[in-house]
Amino acid sequence: MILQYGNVDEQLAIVAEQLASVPELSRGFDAVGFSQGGQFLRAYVERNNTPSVHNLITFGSQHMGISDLPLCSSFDLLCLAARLAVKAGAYTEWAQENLVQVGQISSSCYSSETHS
Amino acid sequence: MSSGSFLADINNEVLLPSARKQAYAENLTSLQHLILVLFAEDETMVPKESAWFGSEAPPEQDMHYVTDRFLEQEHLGPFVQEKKPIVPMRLHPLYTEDWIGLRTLDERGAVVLVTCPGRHMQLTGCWESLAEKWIGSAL
Repeated sequence: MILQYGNVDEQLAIVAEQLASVPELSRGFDAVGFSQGGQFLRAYVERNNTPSVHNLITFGSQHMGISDLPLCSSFDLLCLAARLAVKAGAYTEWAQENLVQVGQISSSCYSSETHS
Repeated sequence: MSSGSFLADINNEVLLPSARKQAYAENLTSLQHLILVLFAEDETMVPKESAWFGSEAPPEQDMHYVTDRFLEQEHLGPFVQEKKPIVPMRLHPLYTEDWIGLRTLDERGAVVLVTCPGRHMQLTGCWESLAEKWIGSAL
């Protein structure tokens, strides 16, 4: 359920490889990132950027992380447990330590909310 | 990365300034434009200002620094209405010390702050004009 940081980095490296293999993009491209996708595309620009991004649009991205999570439905115990665990961490270590995890958990809570 | 997180890394948030990755700033400043869209009624992410590189003010003593800076600012924008004080992008060390080139970009006029009405990722009526303006123009 929780996407570890290492996986984000690995996945981004794979994406960068894939982008580099598309001839149509060799002169660069404009990129649009939705929610967490915005941080991930910013990471691509900062770390790789070959081919280069011209304009980057990010919609509702958590560029500075988040400090709270959306509410879980009262019967979703997994979501509630994750929320508690993350909240404890987010407040004690407000430095960015847990924030990608927070983002992942928040999106799983969000989808379980919308499905229930 | 052993100690830091993904976000700390891409924000170049390090203990020693010498450990900062210069390439990150060089690459980010190579963007023509960085368009940051905030959803006005976003309740999914707290704080929603994170979309604009804003963050909640840390508690305790750091607040004095923040409130002093707040008072110096003429244009507070929507930030003062928040329940918890928000440190806007331009007051955060990430920006003032230019950890990732954001300040360089902004001073070049290349950072565009946009507000879309609606909740998190409610794109209706908002994305078309942005796409028209910023996508495909450079090719």
